[in-house]
Amino acid sequence: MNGTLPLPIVHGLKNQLAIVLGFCELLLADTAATDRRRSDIERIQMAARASLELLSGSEPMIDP
Amino acid sequence: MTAERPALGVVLVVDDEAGMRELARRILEEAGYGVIDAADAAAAIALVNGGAAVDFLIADLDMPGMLGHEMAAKIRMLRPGLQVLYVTAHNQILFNDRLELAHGEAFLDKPYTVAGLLEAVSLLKLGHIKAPVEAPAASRWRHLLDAVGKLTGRNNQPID
Repeated sequence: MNGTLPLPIVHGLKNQLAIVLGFCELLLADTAATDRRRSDIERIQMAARASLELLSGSEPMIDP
Repeated sequence: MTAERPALGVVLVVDDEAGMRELARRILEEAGYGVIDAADAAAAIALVNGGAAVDFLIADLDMPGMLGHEMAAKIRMLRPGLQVLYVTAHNQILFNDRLELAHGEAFLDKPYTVAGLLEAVSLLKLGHIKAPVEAPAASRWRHLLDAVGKLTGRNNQPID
């Protein structure tokens, strides 16, 4: 069973990961297809997406 | 001297996270929009009160002081018909309080992609959505599809 994190923590972390992912996308758009740094940026993206998945498993459920 | 307005219009971006404001600015300015921004609701309302030219509002929902949709309601009292795109990591805030979006409002989950943000703003502006540049996550687009229905008066129409 997953533990849950307080909602403000989840929200804050998601915000930060959104910034990481957004700027990774902008960086990739400005990086040539042959540039070896692309794989470094993609590694950052993968880690950020994995972190988002971890967060979605620890998000408290809110009933309407 | 006449100030030149960006052809695509001016977007007011309100988010308490500086990084999110800068991300939205980079995406929107590269696409041809003008961008002004504010770090909280009070600053945004002051900008609009001061006569700032604003065509669209992008509002973070979960801001300290005043929530994004409360701020948008106040701004729309000053500028009726101003179209609003809400962005948030937590849509519960919006839907717990209001359950559904008003006319001229749409919703986008964080994190969003470059294409996702541009298409959401384009949707607000034109009332329709262009073919996606990339295949987005289905959950992310549910909100946009709902918004398309609201903006165009049609529901569940294919968008491609």
